[in-house]
Amino acid sequence: MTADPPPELESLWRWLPEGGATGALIRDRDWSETPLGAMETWPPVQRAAVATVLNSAVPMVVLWGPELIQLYNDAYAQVPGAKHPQALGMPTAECWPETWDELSPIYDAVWRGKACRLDHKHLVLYRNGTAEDAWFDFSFSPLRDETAAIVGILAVVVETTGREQGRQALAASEHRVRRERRFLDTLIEQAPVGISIADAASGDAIVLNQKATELLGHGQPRNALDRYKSYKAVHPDGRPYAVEDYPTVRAMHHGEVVDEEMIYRRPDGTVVTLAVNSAPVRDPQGGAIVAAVTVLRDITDQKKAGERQQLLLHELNHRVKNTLAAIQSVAHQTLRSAPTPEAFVTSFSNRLMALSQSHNLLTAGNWEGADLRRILAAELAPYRNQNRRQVRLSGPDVYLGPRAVLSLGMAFHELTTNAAKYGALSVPDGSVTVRWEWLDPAGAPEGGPPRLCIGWEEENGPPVAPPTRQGFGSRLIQRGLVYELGGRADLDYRPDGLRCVIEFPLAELPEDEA
Amino acid sequence: MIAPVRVLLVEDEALVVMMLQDILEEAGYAVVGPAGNVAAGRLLVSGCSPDAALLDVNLRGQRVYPVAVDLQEAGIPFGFITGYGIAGLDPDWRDRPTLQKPFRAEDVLRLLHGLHPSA
Repeated sequence: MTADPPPELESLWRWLPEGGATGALIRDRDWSETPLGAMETWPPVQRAAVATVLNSAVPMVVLWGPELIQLYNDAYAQVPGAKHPQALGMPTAECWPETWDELSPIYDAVWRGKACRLDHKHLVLYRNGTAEDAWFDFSFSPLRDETAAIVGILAVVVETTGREQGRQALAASEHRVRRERRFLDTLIEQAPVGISIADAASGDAIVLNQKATELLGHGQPRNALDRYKSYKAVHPDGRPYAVEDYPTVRAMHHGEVVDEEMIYRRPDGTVVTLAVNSAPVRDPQGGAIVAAVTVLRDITDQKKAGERQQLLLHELNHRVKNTLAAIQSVAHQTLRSAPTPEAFVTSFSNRLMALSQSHNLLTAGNWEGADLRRILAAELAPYRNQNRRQVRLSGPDVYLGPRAVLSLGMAFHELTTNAAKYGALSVPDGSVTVRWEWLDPAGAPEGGPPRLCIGWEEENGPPVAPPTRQGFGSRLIQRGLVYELGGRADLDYRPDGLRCVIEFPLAELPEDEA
Repeated sequence: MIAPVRVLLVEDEALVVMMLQDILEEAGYAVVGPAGNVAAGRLLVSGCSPDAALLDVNLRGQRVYPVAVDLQEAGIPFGFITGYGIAGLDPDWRDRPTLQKPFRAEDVLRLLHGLHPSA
C-alpha cells in the first residue's frame, strides 16, 4: 500500500479489506462517474458483500443492482481472461454477451429470491478472442438490504475446465486402449496360429484362441498346471513331456524363451506335430514374470512333405542305380558279342535307345504302365509307315506294368534288330506279323492270373539258319524275359522265317522300387 | 579237379543276373539259382547248401532278409547287393559286406573272395 489515505476516506478503509491486486483496482477507481456512484455512497449491504468477496480465497463475484455490475476478487480475475480488468465494474450483459441468453433466466430466478446452483456447467466463452469451451461450478445467492429487498447477486464461480479436460483426455485414452484391445482380440482370433496367454500367478490360460483350441483339441481352458497333466505330448526323440517340460511352464516359471517341436496327441487320439514358441511377459516395473505367451503351429503336413521328398529322392536314387546296373549289364554283354569297337558302339547305342523309348512310354503313363501295341509300334515304326508296310500288328488292348514294358521293349528291340539284319525286314518283300491274344482260361492254373500269348512271325525273308552261338538277343528272350515275366519263350529258327512265341501270366507282380 | 565254389544268386533283375552269371562263371564259380524271390531263395539255401551267396536286398518290394537269416543259421557266408547303398540296409545287417549297384566285376570277385577265400 502506498500512502496513507486522505482523512475523508478513513471510514472507507475500515470496511474495505486489502483484497490484493483486484482490491487495489476497486479502491483506486473513481466510481462517482459510474452507475454505482462514489464508494462512500455504497449502501452497507454492498460494502459487506464486496468486503466478503475481497476477503475470500474462493473465486467470487458480486453482481450489483439491476444491471448486475461485476465486482470480483483476485481468485475470480482469471475467469474473464483478457476481459480483466475492464470486466471490473462492467454490467454482466455487456461483459458476457456470449452467455447472456443461457444465464439470464438464472439471474432472473435468483433476483426473485431463489438461490441457484449449477454444477459443471458447460459454456462457450470468448474471453481470449476466440471461442473456447469452459466448465464451471456456479452458486448464486440473492443479496438483500435491510428491507429484505433484493439488490444484487453473490456468485461463487469455480472453473472446472481443467477437470473436464483431464476427464476427456482419460476418456480418449480409455477409448484408444479399448480400440487397441479390439485390434488385438481380432488379431488373436484371426491369426492362423494357436495363441495362448497364461497368467503366471494362477497358471490359468487367460487367452486361448479358436485355433489353439482346435490344435490342442481341448475345450474351455482349465488351470494350466492341471491341464498339462492331461496333455499327452512327446519330444521328437520320444521322451514324454513332464508338466515342467511344457514350453509355457518353462517360460512362466523360469523366464525361458522356448522354440521347439512337439509331437502331440489330442484327446480324440489324432497326433500332430506342433511348432511351439513360448516367451515370458515381464512387468514393466520390476521385471517380474506376469504371464507367458505361447504360439502354436501345426507343422504335420510340412513334416510329412519333407519326409515324402526324402523318400522320393531316395527312390529316385535307387531307380537310377538300378538303371545304371541294367545298362552296365547290357554293355557287358554287348561287348562279348561285338566283333569290332564300332559294332559295339552301334549295338550298344541302339539298345540304349530302345531302353530310353520304353522309359518315355512309361513316363507318359505316369510310370504305371504302357499299352502293348504302343511298345511294338514304337520299336517297329521304321518298317510300318506310308513307304514301308512290312509289319502287321493285331490283338486286343493290353496294358502292361513297368517291368513287363521294360523287358518286352528290350526283347522286341532284339527281334527287330535281328529281322533287319538277317530276317524278313532285311528285304523289301519280307514281312513281320505280331499277334497276341488271351489264352483260354481253362489252360491256366486254377484261380491263376490270365495268360497272354504273343506270337512274332517272319515271312518272305532270306532262308533262316539257327545261330552257331547264343547272342545277347536270344539269351535276353529265352532267359531274361522268362526270368522277369515268369513265363516261357520259344525261338524257332524255321527256314522260311523266324518264329518267336512268348507266353506269360499278366498279374503284375507287386510293383516295387526295383 | 577241385569242385567249383557254388554261389547262390538271389536277384530279381534279369539283366543284373545275366551279368553276374557271366562274371562268376568266367571266374570259375558255379552259380546256384538264380532266385528272383524270397521263397525261391530259401528253397535253394535248404536244398542246395551253396558255399556262399549274393543277395539283392529288394526283390520286387520283398526284403531278402529271411534268406539272410537262413544263411546265417546254416553258417553260409553271404554279401548284399543294393541300389540303396548301406543306408538302405536294415541296421542289423550293416556289418555284412555290401556291393552297391552299379558295380565292377573285380568288386564282385573281391567280395566273394572275402566270403570264401578258397576260391
